[in-house]
Amino acid sequence: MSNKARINYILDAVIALAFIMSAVSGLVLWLGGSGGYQGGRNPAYQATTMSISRAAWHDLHLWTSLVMMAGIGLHLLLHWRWIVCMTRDILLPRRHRTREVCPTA
Amino acid sequence: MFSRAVTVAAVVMLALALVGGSAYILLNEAGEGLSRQAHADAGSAGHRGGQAELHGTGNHAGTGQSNGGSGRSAASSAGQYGQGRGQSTTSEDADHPLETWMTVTGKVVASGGGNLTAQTAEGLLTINLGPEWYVEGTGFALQAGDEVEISGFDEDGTFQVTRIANQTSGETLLLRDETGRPLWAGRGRGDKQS
Repeated sequence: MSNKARINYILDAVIALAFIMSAVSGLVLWLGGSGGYQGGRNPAYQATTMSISRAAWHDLHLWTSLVMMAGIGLHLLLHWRWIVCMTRDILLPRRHRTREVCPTA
Repeated sequence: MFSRAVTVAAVVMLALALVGGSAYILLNEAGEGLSRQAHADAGSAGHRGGQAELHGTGNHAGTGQSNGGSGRSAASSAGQYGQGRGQSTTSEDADHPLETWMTVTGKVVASGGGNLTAQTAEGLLTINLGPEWYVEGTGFALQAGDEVEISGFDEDGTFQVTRIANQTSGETLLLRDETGRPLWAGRGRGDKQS
């Protein structure tokens, strides 16, 4: 396995892990009722899911989403030439194309 | 070569950020969970200890804007108020520790405009509950003659109400959290609870 492929694999693994964590924490926040103290009227104020408080789920969701965004940004940067090449290949009329082979993703 | 090194560094940083950041959040949460549990235990113990003599010894005898006193309560009620969401606040690091809170009981003489005048054992007590828009917005009702239990603390000679319970209607209005922070200051909405 080439170094480039290894880097791509690790980066994609990080993005996948961040995505899963972001998705799970997002579902917990979505399905876990509303947060906030609400003057003491919110019965789910101190509720936990899997022994983790809503505030921690929120922090986890924020952090993993930021990592995922950064990872996707880096992923796009690493594959930028391929993206440009493929876009040109698809959008430009066939007669205007140069015979260019897009780099492997 | 340079770009490859930068790429590797960026990927490694992302991986570390994901694992390290998540671990930090979860470990921090575990620590706070233990702190909350200990605080809840202490609070409930304090509550069981009784709210026996909680009247302040302040200078609110008489009439007018007396605003409480500087008395110290004998018990806290952390168990009753609960703990802050995502906070590790204990009574020690709060601006107004629960141990300094006091509770007075009395009968409503007049209320309105965010203010309340009640007849207590020490005399007529007039206090400000909070901004009128906030108090009115909660829908919490007080009628003349209602029996009320008012909890709060002394801040620079002013009695700051944290909680008021209308014992006649059974409604309770929370105005400040366990650290003494006003609920109208951005952490949730203070609504009445039955």
